[in-house]
Amino acid sequence: MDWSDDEFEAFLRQFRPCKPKALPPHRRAVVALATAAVIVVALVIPTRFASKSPAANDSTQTPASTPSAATNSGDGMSQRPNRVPEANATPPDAEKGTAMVSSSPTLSGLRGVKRPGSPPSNGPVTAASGAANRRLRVGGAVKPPIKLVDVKPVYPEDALAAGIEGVIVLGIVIGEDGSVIETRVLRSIPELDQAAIDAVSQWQFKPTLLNGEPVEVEMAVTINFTLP
Amino acid sequence: MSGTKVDREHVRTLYERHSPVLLAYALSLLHDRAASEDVLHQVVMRLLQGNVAINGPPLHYLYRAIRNTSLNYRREHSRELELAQNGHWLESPPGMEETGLALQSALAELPDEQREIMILHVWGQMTFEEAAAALDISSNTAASRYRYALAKLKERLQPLAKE
Repeated sequence: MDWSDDEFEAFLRQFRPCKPKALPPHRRAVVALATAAVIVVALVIPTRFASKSPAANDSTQTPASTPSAATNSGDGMSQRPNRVPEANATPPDAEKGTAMVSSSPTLSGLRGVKRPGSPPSNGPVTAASGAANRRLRVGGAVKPPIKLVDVKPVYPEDALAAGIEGVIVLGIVIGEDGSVIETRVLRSIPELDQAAIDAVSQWQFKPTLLNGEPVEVEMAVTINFTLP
Repeated sequence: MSGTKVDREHVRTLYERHSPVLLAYALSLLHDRAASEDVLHQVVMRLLQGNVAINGPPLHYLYRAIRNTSLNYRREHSRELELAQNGHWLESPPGMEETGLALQSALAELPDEQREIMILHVWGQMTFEEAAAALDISSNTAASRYRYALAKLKERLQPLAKE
């Protein structure tokens, strides 16, 4: 027997639209925050630059001295053999504690968690950082790598009992072997962060090749914790 | 241009009551949660700051403004949006997650104009007349688009729901 329109509408209404986050603060508060941020940046950036190699931040600034960085331009990427199909961007994400992969244009780390033995990172996930440690960031022509091993996060019992749910965003670095070698919490829910990190750290991806050689890739992943 | 400014408290009340559906509407156009929230906030903040004089019901204005802002955003950021694809906007009841995914997928396959009338009528609980006014189309067009959309969704979901 077919559903009537009313029955079908009632069926559809069981699925409820997600709530957005609260409105941003009033403009005056935003201006004050922005001013504070500018002051902090003005104080912090000179000291960071002083301790960094000039090639670490922007591959386009030093094409002659860092040839591998130069290959990270659009031309170099068009030669990559393992571009990810579009379908890779629509993983299952509605189950309890399941994970959804997405790319993010800005990855400013809030706090970092590294695996022992992982290479040092110069601050937040940025572009390539030299011939010895080539790193691409997902975005533009760089597609997210294919996930080979997916580990679902375990919902922490405390968070479950407290009714805490929400979205964690992690910035991750995928090593040349396809394993996750670095994670940073970009959007935090303190009770859920560790569970997300534990799961994501076990993910395995197909190594990304640039001109036939594996490279590290940076991307953001979204972990959606939904209460049952 | 004529029009009236909207009382801030009224805007806040509208946001509290309708923000999930407004977000769903933006998400149905952008398929990216962060971008959709930005668009929603941008539109609401513009109203709150009192810079906009509107004609007609404020809720209708919100839908139209979200649509226009989303379409502008889509034009300017098509590449990032193509990559993002994290536009999950429906919460499924327990045990119906698979059906929820199928529903999202079926909705995503609808043409924009059919999907938007579904959102306004089913989740926004607007009549066809109200939805038509918000979308600046005729009631008959709204009803007709809705019928097409409903038929497609039924075809996709009925087998799943009866399993």
